[in-house]
Amino acid sequence: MKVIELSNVTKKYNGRVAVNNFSFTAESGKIYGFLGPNGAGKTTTIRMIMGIIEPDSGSINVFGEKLSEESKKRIGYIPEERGLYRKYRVSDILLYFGRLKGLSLEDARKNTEIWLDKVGLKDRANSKIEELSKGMQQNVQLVVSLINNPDLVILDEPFMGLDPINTRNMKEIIYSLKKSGKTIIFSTHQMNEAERLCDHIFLINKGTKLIDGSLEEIKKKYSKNFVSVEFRNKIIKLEDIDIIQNVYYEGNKAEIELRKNTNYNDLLEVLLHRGDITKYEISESSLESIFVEVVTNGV
Amino acid sequence: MGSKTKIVAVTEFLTNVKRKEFIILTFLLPLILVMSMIIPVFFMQTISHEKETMGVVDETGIVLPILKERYNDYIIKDLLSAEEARLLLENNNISGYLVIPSDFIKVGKVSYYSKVQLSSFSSANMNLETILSDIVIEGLLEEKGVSKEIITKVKNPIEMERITVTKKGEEVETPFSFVGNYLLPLFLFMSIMNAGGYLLNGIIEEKENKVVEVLLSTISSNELLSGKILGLGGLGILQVSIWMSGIVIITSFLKIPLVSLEKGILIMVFFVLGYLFYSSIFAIIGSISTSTRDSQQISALVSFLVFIPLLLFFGIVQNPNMAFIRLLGMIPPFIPTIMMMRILLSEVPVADIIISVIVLSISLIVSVRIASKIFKIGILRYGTKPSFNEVLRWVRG
Repeated sequence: MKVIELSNVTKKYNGRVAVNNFSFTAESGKIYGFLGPNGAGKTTTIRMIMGIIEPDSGSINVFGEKLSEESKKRIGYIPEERGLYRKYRVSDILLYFGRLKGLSLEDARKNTEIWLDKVGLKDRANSKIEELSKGMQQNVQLVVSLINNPDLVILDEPFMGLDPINTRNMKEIIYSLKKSGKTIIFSTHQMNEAERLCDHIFLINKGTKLIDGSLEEIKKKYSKNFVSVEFRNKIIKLEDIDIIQNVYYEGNKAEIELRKNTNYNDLLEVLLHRGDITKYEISESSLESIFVEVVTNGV
Repeated sequence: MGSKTKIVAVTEFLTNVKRKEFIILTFLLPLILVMSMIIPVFFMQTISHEKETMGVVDETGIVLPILKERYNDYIIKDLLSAEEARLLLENNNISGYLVIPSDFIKVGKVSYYSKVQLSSFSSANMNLETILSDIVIEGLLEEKGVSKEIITKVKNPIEMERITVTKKGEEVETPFSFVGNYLLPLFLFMSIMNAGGYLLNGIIEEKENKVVEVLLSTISSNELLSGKILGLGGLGILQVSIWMSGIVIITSFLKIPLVSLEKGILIMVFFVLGYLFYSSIFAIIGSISTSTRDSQQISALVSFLVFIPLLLFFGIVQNPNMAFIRLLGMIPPFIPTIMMMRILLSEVPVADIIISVIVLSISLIVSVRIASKIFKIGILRYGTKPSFNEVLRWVRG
């Protein structure tokens, strides 16, 4: 089932293109990642999906229709610019947002209790937001977005400002949401997190979608053949080997990029004649290196 | 009202009604105002009467007994000579002394000596002057053989009753009317500014706490703004109701006539329209401001503009229906306060009321539309203040 469908969406601010002719489809039960550097257009795209800003052209459908009050209730959202009323009590904030998201007072109370228990804040229900640590505040923010058990969860830079423990907690929650059949869309500029979490990735730069596909598809299409080699002694230059595209040296180590359609074994055979090899490791391009390559060289 | 608007309105009301500032302003400020009027009177009547002594050197032989009988502001001490009086003054045994020469009744000249200047506006001085004048008048007329009745009449020749003619008959002006006429618009003005201030701070707080975007993902900017304005409007009405109840209790206790129901309703119409108008202005200020300090500077200017009619109070009292005041009563920012004062002070022509209501209502519709457009974009604006041209672009949409 199509949860989100964007067709040729464009948004300009004072003549500057923020999002350019962007199209994509998200289906239920998957994790989607919007990847790109700051200013790529991720937040603008998310805000348009949420109906916070209007696109200049193109169409956006959520749950098969234009965003409506009813469909809004099925979305949980954590914006990039996030915060909570500092003087409010945790439970008051959750009840307020629960009610705004269409829950009855009774259900809002029940869900508040369940979620605070899940994120380990049950005993802080009566604390004011300003009395909580930053990590705890982030968790309350997360509960605000999930209080009404939404079908679609949109998280704009969810790992921003989180320490390693809270990052791990956030990832666990994203996984558990996926397990329960939710669709999750999140934006990040931390490629390694996206690589671990996402089923489907959109690489965006300067408002334009550069790459769109599953991690497997992207790697298959854009990944380069890399080999890490370590010699016992100092390396003699390797550029003369014709199957090598690029090589980067670091002491007695070398990072070698092979030409397309070449074989790792052929390289090993040649290298064995160049010295004592202590390590030979084949590696794929990381998402980050693919992104850098695509952005800088437009490959 | 949509359910989300209602939830925002109720939350805004309940959150702000518990604020210390609201409780202090609602209960303490009227008390302070009332006390600021009562205390000086109490002070004048009691503390200043604490047995200070005034020496009197009476060379006529007839003034002193009358002074002792009629003048209660000081203890009167009979002194034989000016030298003795000066000595007692220098030794602080008396606070001042009066030298009444033998030709006082004919010439009317008298001297008062003291270390501290006796203010000519003080009640002690005014009472003394009145009594001495009366003694001269009585002395001169008695000498001419004028009867006591005529002497009394000469001393108090007229008595003027000030009566305001209303549609429902006659309403006798009392000292309280003056206080009420000034205090009531002042209280209503304070309530409007107070609720407007909460709205402004609320918007800035949401911007500073960056909670706006979470809100806008669940509620439209129009619903959010309407909820805030309605919730805080309810707060203003509660505040005014508390003050009104106090005024009703005091006036019924003192048996002082209160404004008629008709006038009361008209005043509330201008109060509500005024509140909505100023709320939209405060919403605009909040939307384009990036910090509390920023917003306070702009809102101080607006508050001053709104306060101007209260500065014109004495002009309005003299002639509530003069052309200049009528004109001011048709300029949107001044309408609520000017009209509330005019209605309290006089019978305002129906045409003036209708024109003011129409002008204020149209201004309200325009300002709410502008506020809604600016609010929609402005509340998501962090960090940099928008330029005037930018705000114009938002309004043009």
